[in-house]
Amino acid sequence: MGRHDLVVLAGLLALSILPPFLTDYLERVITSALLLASLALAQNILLGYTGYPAFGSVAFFGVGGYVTAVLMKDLSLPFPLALLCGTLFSGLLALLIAPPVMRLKSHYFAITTLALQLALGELVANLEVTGGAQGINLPIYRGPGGYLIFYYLFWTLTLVAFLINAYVERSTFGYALKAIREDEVAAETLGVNTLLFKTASFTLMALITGCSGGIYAYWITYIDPTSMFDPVLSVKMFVALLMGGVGTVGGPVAGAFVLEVVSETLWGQFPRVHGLILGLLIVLIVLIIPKGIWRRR
Amino acid sequence: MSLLVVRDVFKSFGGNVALKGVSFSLGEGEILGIVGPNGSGKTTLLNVLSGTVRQDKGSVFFGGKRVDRLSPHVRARMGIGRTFQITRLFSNLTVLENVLVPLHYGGPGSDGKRAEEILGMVGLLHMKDVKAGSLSLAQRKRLELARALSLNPRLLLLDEVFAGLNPVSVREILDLLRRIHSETGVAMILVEHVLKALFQITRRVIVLSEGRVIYEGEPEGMANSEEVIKAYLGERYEAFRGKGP
Amino acid sequence: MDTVLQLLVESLFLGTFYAFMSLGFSLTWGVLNIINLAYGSYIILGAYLAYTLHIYLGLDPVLSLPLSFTGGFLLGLFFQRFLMNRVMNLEPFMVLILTFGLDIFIANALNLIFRADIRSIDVPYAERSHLLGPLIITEVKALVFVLSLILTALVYLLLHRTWTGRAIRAVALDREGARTVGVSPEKIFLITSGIGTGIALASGNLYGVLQGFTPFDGGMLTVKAFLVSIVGGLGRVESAVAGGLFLGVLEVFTGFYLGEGWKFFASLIVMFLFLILRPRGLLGGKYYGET
Repeated sequence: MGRHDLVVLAGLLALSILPPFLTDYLERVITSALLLASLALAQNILLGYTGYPAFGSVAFFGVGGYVTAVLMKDLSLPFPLALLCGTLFSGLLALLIAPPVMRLKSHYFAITTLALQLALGELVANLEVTGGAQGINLPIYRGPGGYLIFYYLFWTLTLVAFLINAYVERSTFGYALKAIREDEVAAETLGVNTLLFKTASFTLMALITGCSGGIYAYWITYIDPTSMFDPVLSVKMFVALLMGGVGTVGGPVAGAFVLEVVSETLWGQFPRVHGLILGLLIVLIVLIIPKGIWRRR
Repeated sequence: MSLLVVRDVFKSFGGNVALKGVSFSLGEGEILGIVGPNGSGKTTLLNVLSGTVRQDKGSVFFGGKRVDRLSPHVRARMGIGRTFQITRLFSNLTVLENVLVPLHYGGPGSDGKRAEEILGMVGLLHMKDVKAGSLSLAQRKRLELARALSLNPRLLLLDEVFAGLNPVSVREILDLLRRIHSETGVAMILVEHVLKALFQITRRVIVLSEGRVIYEGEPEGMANSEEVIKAYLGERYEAFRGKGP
Repeated sequence: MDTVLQLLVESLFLGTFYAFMSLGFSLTWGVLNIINLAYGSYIILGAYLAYTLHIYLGLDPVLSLPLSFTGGFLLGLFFQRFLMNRVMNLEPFMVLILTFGLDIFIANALNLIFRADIRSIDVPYAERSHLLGPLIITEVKALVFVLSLILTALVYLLLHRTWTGRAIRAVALDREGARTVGVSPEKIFLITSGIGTGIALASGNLYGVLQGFTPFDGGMLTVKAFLVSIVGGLGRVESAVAGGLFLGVLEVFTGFYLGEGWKFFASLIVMFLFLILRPRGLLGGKYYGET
C-alpha cells in the first residue's frame, strides 16, 4: 500500500467514531458512499487487478438483495442468516458462470455481464416469489442502534473489501491476478492456472457485491427489479473507480466518496437535471482520464 | 529414452493448414533448431508444444507422459518453458515480480533468493525493481528467458530469441544460452531466422515448409537438399530448373 | 394453424423493422469497433423528432424520414469528430462507459423537455387494419415493414454499389490495407458514424409510428440492436436481416405463448447464450474481441 492508500485507510477508520457528530442526513450520505465504495472495491479486484471489466456486476447486487429479502419475507429468516445466504448465493452463481463467461475478452465480457444483469432483472420482474414488478416490502428495522446499524454494516463491508484489495495488492494470489491482467497467455505458460484465478476473482467480486445488495435491501426496506438491477448504479460504480484510480487499494473508496458528495450536492441543488449532469460527468471523466488506466501509478 | 516425442501433428486454422503431420523427437539435454520460410508452421508448432494451441490430430509425449491435452500451466509445471517471438512480459510488474510469478506457480515456490540468482544469471539483477515495460528489447528477451528458467524447465522453447537484436546482443544471448545449457542441462528447441547464430549452438536442424518436415540433420546438409532449396527459393527456383540443361 | 401463420407474418413485419433499426449499430461496430450503448437513445431521439415535426408542422413521420436521417447524419459526424475519435484507442470498455454516459445524457435531456409520459405519433392510419384471407394486417405494421425493406435495400446498395460503400467495407476488413490503396480510414469512420446515426434516427420515425415511447426506452432498443448484430454477425446487411428476423420470431412467439412480460427476458437470455457459445454469430463474420 502506498501513502495515499494509508490516508484512505485512516479516513475509513475515522468514520467508525464519527456517527455521534453526524446529522441524520450526513449519516445517510456516508452510508450511500460506503455502499458505492464497497461495490467499487469489489469491481477493483476484477477490473483493477485481473483486467476484466464486469460491466454488469450489479447483477450480483440484485441477486444478493433479492435472496436476502425473499428469505426474510417468505421464510422469516433473521436478517443475519438471510444476508449470509444472499451473499453465498451470489458467490455460488458467480462460481458457476465464471468459467464460460471469463473465456470472453474485453467488451464481449463486459456486455455479457450486462446482459446477465438485465436478464436477471427481467426474470425477477416476472416471478411471483420475488413479487414481480411490484417488488418486495421488508419490515423496518427497529432493533438497537436504529439506522446506524446499516452505517456500520456498510462500513464493515467496505473495510473488509479494502483489506481484501490490500491483500491482493501484495500477495502471491495477487501476482497471479496481475499476471492475467498483464498477459493471460504468458501467465498460462508460466504455470498460472488462469481459469482458477479468474474464477476466484470473479467470485470474490460477486460475494462482496451480493453482500452489499443484501444490506441495501434491508436498509431501504423496499426493493423492486428496477432499483436492484439498475445499470446506472453500474456506471456510477465505474465512474467512482475511474476517478479514484483503477488498480489501487484506496482509490475506489476515495472515488466513491467524491462522487457521492458531488452527486448529493447536485441532487440537493438541481434535482431535475441530476441525470443530465451524471451523464455529462461520465463523458467528461472518460475523456479526461488518460489512456491506459492501469499505467497511472 | 526421448524427452520429447512429437507424432504426426496436424493443425489447421479455418481453411489454412499450418501443420501437416509433423513428427520428431528430442533427447534429454539436446538442442534442436527449427527453421523454415515464413508461414511454414514453426510458431504454431511451438504453440502446440507449450499448449497455447491445441492440435487437431497427433500426439505429444513429454518425459514419457502424453501431454497434448494438458493445459499450458500444467505443462509449464512439468518443465516446459517458453519465450515468445514478440515478447510478452508483465509490463506493469517489476522485473523481480515477473520472475516471482513462474517461481511460485510453475516452479519450486516463491523464493526471493532463487529469483535473484536467476536474474543474476541473465544479467538483470541490477534492474530488479524496474518496471518490465521500460526494458530494452535485448533486456526483454533476457527477462523472458529468466521467467522460463524459473520453472526449472527440462525443455526450453525459444521463439526467435535473436530476432531484432544487434550483433553484440546476439553474441551475448548466445553465450547466455550456452551457459544455461552447460549449467542446467536443459533441452532446447530454437525456432530461428538468424541461421548463423543458430548453427553456433546446435548441430541438429529441422526444416519446416508448408507444415511438413522436409529436412532433418546437420546444417551443412541443408544446402544440398533440393527440397530445402526449393522451399526457400520457391518459384524462382522452379523457373530456373525449367530453363536448366 | 391460422394463429401460427398470423404470428409468422407479425414476426416478419417486426423482424424486418429490427433489421433496419440495427443496421447502424452493426455498421459502427463492424467498421469502427465501437459498441455504442447510446444507440437506442438515438432511435428514441428520432422518434421525438418525428413527434415534434408531426405536432407542430403536421408533417407525417414517413415524410420526415429524410429529415431524421440528415439530422442523425450530422449528429453522427459531430459525435465522431468530438467524442469517439478521442477514445477509439482506449480500452474498449472505456468506450462502453462513455457511450453509456451519452445514453444517460440524451435520455435525461429528452425527459427534461418532454417529461416521462408515454408519447405516440397519432397518424390518421394508426388504427386501420385489413383482412387478408385468414390474416389480419395492421396498416401501420405493413407500412413500417415495406419502408424498412426499402430502406434496408438502399443501405445494401449503398454499401455494395457505390465507391463510398466499397471503401467502408474495405476499412471494416482491414484498416491498414485500405489505407495503402488510398482510402483514409479516418474519413470513413466519420461517414460510417454519420450513416449509422442517420439510420438510428430514421428508424426512430418508424418506431414512433409503431408504438408509444418514453425517453427511457433507449436501453431496451440498444439491447435489441445488439442481439440482432451478434446473431447474424457484424457489419453486413444480410447478417442484420437474419438477426432481425430471428429477433422478430423470438419476440412475437414468446410474447404470444408466454406473455408480454417474458419477451425482453427471452431476448436477453438468448443474447447471453449467444455471447458465451457463438460470439461470432450464426453466419460467422468479423470478430474483434480476440485481438
